[in-house]
Amino acid sequence: METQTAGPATAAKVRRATTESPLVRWALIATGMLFIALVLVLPLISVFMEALSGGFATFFQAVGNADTWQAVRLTLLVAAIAVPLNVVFGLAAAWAVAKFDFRGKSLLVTLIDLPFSVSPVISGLIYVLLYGANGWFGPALKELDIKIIFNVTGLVLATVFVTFPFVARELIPLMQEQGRDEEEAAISLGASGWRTFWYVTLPNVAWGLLYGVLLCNARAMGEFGAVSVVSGHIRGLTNTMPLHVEILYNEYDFVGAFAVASLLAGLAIVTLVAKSLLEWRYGDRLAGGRKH
Amino acid sequence: MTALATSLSGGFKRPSVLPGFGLTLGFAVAYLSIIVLLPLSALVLRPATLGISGFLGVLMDSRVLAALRLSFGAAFIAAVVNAFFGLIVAWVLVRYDFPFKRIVDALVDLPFALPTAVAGISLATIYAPNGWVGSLFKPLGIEIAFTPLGVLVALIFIGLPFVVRSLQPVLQDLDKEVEEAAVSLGASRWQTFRLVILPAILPALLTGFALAFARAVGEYGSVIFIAGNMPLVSEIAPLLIVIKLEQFDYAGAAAIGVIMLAASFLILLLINLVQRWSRRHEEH
Amino acid sequence: MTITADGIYKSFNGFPALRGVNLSASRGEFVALLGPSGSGKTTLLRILAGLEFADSGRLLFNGRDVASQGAGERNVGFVFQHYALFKHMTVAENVSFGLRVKPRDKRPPKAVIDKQVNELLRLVQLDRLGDRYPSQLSGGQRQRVALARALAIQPAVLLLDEPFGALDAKVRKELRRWLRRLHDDMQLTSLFVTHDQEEALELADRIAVMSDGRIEQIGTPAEVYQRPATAFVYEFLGNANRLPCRIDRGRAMVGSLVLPAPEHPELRDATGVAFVRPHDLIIGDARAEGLEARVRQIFVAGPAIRVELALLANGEMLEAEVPHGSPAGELIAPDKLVTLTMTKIRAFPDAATA
Repeated sequence: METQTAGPATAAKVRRATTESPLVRWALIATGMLFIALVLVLPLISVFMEALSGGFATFFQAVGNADTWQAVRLTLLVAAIAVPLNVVFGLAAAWAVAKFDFRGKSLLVTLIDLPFSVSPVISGLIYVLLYGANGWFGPALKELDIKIIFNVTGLVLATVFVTFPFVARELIPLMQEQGRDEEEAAISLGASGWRTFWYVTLPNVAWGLLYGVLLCNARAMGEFGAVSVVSGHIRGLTNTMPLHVEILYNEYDFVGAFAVASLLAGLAIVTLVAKSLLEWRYGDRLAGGRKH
Repeated sequence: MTALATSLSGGFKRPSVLPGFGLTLGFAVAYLSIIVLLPLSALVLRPATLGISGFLGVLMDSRVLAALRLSFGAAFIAAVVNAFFGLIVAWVLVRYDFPFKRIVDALVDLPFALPTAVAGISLATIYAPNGWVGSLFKPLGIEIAFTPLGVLVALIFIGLPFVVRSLQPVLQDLDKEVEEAAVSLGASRWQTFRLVILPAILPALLTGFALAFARAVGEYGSVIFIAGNMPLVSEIAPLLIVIKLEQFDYAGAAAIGVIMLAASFLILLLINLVQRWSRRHEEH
Repeated sequence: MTITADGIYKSFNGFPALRGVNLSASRGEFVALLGPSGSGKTTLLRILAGLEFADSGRLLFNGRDVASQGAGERNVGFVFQHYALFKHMTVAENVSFGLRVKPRDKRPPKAVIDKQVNELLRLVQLDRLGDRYPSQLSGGQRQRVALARALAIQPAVLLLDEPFGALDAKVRKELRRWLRRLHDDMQLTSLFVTHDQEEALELADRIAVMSDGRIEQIGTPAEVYQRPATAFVYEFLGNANRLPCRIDRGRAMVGSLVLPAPEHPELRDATGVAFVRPHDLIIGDARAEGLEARVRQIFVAGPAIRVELALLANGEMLEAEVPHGSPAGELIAPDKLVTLTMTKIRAFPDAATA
C-alpha cells in the first residue's frame, strides 16, 4: 500500500449522487425562506404589531367596543349554524357515497367540490339573485315579509355555500378507504343502522371529521367576500368580524381594524396548530392526500 | 359522463345490507340542490334576460374589459410566480433539513386559514409606500400598494399553498433510484432535474398552478384593500360585480359572474385533463 | 477493467453495513455477491458504482483510485433491481439518455446516437419496441431496456442489483442464460447481487458469499459449494442438516458414528457442528449400525424422495433425500424406525460457527 487514501475525509468530500452541492442547497433554502417570510410571515406579524401599536390599553379598548362584541357574537352564531349543517351533510353524503354503489356517484362527488371553484363574490351574488329585492323569489318574499338578504339568514346561506365541501371532501375518501366490511359485520350481528353508525363508523372517522370541522370553521368565521355581498353592512345586525375589520379600516380606525383582525389571526394560528397536530399525530387516520 | 355509465347491471343502486341509503342520499341531494345547484342556476339564467347583445354589451364595456383583463392577467402572473417559488419551497421542505422546518411547513397553509380581509389590510399596510416592504421599494420609484402590483402581491399570497401542497406528495414519492440511474449514466445534477425530475413533477406543478390561478381570478377580500380600486387601472372583476350589485344591476353583475364561472370550470376541466394525461405512463 | 476493493468500511447512522471488505474482479469476469438480505451486498455494489461512498478503504479501477469520483465519472453501468426506467421517456429515449447528457463536445451527433440505440435495442431483442413507454412493457422487457440503457455508455464495468429478482421463474431462467452470453460476447467485467444461490452457482465465474458486512468466502461455484470455508457458507449454499459433534485429531464423532474430518488434524476433543447434505444421509435398516431415527414425513413428488426424520437421541429433525427406486426407498414408511449413516460431513469447531 503506497498511498494512505480514504478515511472519512474522502466520503465527506464527494457528494451523494442525488443531492445538490451545499452552496445550491443553501441558496435554495434561503430563497424559499425569504419568499415565505415576505409573503406569509411578515403579514402575520404585522397584524399583531399594528394591533398593539397604540399600546395594550388602546387594543383592549378597541376589542371591548360594543360593535366589536356584536360582530364576534354574530360570527360565532353564523359558524354555529353553518358548521353543524355541513357536518350533517358531510356525514350523509359520505355514507351514501362510500357505503353504496349507485349511478351518478362520481357526478355527485364532483358537484360537492363545486363551491371551491366559485369566487367568493359570486357565492354571495347567487343568493342575491335568488332572494334579493330584484331576485327570483324577491317579490314573493317581500309579500311574506321575509328578509333573507341583508339579514342573518343570508349570511348563514352564503357561509354554508363557501364551506360546503370541507367536511364531505374529508370524509368521503376516508370512508371509501375504510370500505364497508365493518358495517356489514355489525349489521349481520344484529346491530341497528344507527348503532352501527354510532359505534362502528363514527369512531373510525372521528379524527377526519374533526379535521374537516376545523377547516370548515376557520373558513366560516373568516369568510369575507360572500358575506360582504349579502350583508348590507348593517352595524350591530349583519356585521361579522371580517366585515367589521373592513368598516373600521375604511373609517381610518387602523388600530381598531387590526385589533379585530388580530383576533381572527389568532383563530388562524390556533387552526394551523390544531391542524398540524392532527396531521402529525393522526396523519394515518386522515384521508390520504387530503392534507390541506 | 363515465360516472353515469358505471354499468350497474339493472337498477340504479347495487343491493346492500346496509341501511340508510335513501335517507342519506336523499338528504345530500336535496341539500346540494338548495344550497348549490339552485343558486348557481340563477346565476347562469339571469344574464339571459339581457339577450345576447345586452350580454355582450356588458362585457364590451371598457371598464369591465379592463377589470377582467386585470383579474385574469394578474392571476396568471401570480400563478407563474407561485409555480416558481412554490417549487423551491416544496423542494426545500421535502428534500432538506433545516431549523424550524415543521413550523414553516405548517405556515404554508396560512392563506387557507387567515381570513382574507385580515390578509388584505395587513398586506396593504406592509406594501404601502410607508410600510415595512413598501418603503424599501419607494426609493426605486416602485409603488406596490394601490397599483396593479399590489393586486399581484395579494394574489401571490393567496395562491402559494396550492402549488406547494400539490407538489409535496409527488416530490415525496419520487423514486430515488431513477435519479441515481440518471447520475450513473453521466447526467449532471441539473440535467437530472431538467430531464428526469421535472417531467415527473410537471403534472403536479401544472395542477398547483391551475388551482392557484383559479383561486386568484375570483379572489376578493385580500385584494380590495391593497388594490386602490381605480377604475380601468386596479379594479378587479369581483369588485365590479359588487359595484353593479350596489347599483341593483343584477343582470350585469350576473353576466360578469357567468364569465368568471365559465373560466373556473374551464380551469377545472384542464386540471382533470392534466391529471389524466399524467397517469398515462403510470404502471398499472 | 480490473476492480479492486480493499478494506471497505461503511456504516449507516452508526450501524455497520460493511466491515472490511476485500474483493477483486478481473477483466471478463462475472462475479456474484451472494448473501441474505442485510449482509451488505447491495451496499458494496452501490459503493462500487459511486452511489454510496465508503467510510474508509480503497477502491481501484485498473489500479487507479476512484474513491473520490462520483457515479457519473466512473463509467459504470448500473442496472437497478426495479429497473428505475424513466417513465415519461420512450424505450429509445431511455436507452439514448446516457449519450444525450454527455457534454456537448463529447456528445455524438444525433444520427450516431440513433444508430447506436438501434444496435443496442437489437442486442437486447427489443428492436421493434423503441417507441413504447416502459408501462407498456412486460417485466422481462423492462429489465432488458434497463440493461440496454446501462450498456449505451459503453461501461467498463456492469453492476446489476438483483437483476432477476422481480421476474417470474420462467423468464428469470431464460434471461439468466441470455445475460451470461451477452457478458461473454461483450467482454465485460460484471458484478451482480443476488440472494438466490442457484442463480449465483449457475451464472457466476466466482461467488463472494457475504454475511453481516463481511465476505465469508470467495471462490468458483465448485469451490464454495464443495469446500465451504465457514459454517455460514455451508448452510447458505444448499440444504444442510446440523448435528452437534466432537472433533478430535482429524475425526468427528456424531453420536456413535466416527467420521473423517481431515480439515482439523490439530484439534483435540473440541465441540463443534457437523453439517451433512440431505443426499449424503443414508437410511439403513433399524438393526444396522448408525444413529437411530424415526420417519416422520415422506414427500414423493419431485426429483427425489424427501424424508423428514426425528433423531431418537434428542428429537432433532433431519432431512434426507433418497433417489426414486433406490433400495433405501423400500425401508421408509411413516413412523418406521431406521438408522442413519453418512458418507460425507463437514465439521466446524464451535468458535468458527459463531
